[in-house]
Amino acid sequence: MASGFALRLADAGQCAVAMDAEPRVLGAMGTELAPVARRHERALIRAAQRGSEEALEELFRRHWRAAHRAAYLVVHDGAAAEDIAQEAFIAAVRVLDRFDRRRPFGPWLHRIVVNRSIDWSRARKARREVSGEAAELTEASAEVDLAGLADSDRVVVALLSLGPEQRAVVVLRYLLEYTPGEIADLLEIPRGTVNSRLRRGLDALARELPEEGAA
Amino acid sequence: MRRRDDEQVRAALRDIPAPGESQAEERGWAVVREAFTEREAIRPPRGVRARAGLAALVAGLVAVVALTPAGAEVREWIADAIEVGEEDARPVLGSLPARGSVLVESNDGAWVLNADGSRRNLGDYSHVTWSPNGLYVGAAEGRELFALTPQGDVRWSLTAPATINSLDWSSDDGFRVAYVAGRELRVVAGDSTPLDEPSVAKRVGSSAIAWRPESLPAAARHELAYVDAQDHRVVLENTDTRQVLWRSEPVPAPVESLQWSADGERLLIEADGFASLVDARGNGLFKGPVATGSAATLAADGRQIAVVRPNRAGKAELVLIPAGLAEVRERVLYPTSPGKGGAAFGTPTFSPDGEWILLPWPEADQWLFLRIADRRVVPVADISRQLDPNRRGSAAFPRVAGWCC
Repeated sequence: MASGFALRLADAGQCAVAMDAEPRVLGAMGTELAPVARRHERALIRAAQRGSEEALEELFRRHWRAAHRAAYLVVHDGAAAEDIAQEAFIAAVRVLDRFDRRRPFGPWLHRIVVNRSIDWSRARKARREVSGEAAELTEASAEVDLAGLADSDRVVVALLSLGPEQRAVVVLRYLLEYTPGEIADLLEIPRGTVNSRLRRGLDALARELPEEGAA
Repeated sequence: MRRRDDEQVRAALRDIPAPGESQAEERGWAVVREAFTEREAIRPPRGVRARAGLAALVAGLVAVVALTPAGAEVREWIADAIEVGEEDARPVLGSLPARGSVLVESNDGAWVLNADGSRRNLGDYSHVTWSPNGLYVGAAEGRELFALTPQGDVRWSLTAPATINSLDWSSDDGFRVAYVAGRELRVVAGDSTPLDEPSVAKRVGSSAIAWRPESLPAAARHELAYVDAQDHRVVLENTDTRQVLWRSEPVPAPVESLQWSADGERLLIEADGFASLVDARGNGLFKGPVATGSAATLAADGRQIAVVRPNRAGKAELVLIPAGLAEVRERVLYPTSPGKGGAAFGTPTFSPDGEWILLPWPEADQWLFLRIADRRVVPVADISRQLDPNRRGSAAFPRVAGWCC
């Protein structure tokens, strides 16, 4: 499944490196940026800083889909995910002149996306509590007949059973391919907290995945 | 087993598209491109233009001598080295690192920035100040004096005889507001009710005024420190009885600010060129030269002073100085380095819990939140734009007016 997705991205010209590379310095959707690609990304940032719309568009195309998907998997609201991804890129444009080119762009962007997604999810929960509406998404999702869903849908529903902070950690680890230490830095939480959230999240998700060897 | 789960989860997540991905991407690019086009249209501001010019010059020189890959790395290093400000600054001013709300004046008017990251524009006001418990904001607009809620609703207003240059809300029971209109000091009740005419109306030598805090509101004394216009002494006066409690030695330079500790036991007198600390009876505790253009802020506990001053290399640094204690041991809280640029910071502001300092850095267009205990730095970028989203103003950097409660 992973290689298929990588192929689709690569076909679209949006992914410079295969997804199953060792994750260290990460670009879009968990891809490691090889030294050449990293230099290329720095060159893109510099060109964008100098006013090149083409360079900015290449940066955008490289990183949009990962940012959008990450936001969606945390907030599970299509419109909100789109807004969050847009806001993150606009924030990038605003600070473009001061962006430190020695740093990879992806983690910087993902930090914004994930933190905003968590904030949005918390705010939604707070609104519901204040307005007294009972239709909490996670509660509704608990009543979904999981047996009738495709694997990916079951994973989405299982994700919704987690809190936004847990979802964020799972997304950062398994979609964006950050290490627990990097996640701790991104979210400014202790590494032990990252590990415990990952463990609980993985347990919840694993229950919804088909057994190995099952049809 | 766990590894298999890892791989399955990884594969499953990668297979989940967001709704309408392709269309969303195109919409996203349209919005981002528009933001980029706008940025290009208004770019470059003065400081950035200078840096860009320098960058172009440096890059041009290097390009002449080095067109190899190694040369390219050198060019990159040089270009990177002239960045000003903290790296990895947060692009968005979100939640504050400590409780309370920050009051700011920007080109777009006054703002209240709350701990949860929400913010509210109060309108076109200046000289804003918190009421003692942060329930109201005192503000001025020309000759008009206003009491606002933190949501921007006007609770009352009055017209002063001249342009208002400063105001201060009594920091004990909140029942008095002092303001300087033109060169004249006046006091009204905290609900705008006129006091006996005039409660205080005297010429002052500086717009710096400060109510003495009282930890027990029931024992509020309504004692105000101000600078006498005739002899340039700092005076502490009970504005209800008009009794002068003490007068300082003449201050040889214009007084820029007067700041009380939270318990009302210490007063920092900041003047052009020096700062002095006196106790509640006006006795001197500490006095020292401070370089022109420096800024000093007294911590709420009155035991430390945060001073921005130039170091030997001419760079600004933030130093914590024990205030009037026998053991004078300075602690550099935030030094600047050549790579960061930085010749000047704004006035530091303590958080309500005293654990953080907000340090404005206009040159970098950043705010630095500094945790005193471990010198942790949380930089936030693009402050001017974030507090002037409609781009109404010039290049003036937002002024922090207080971090309350």
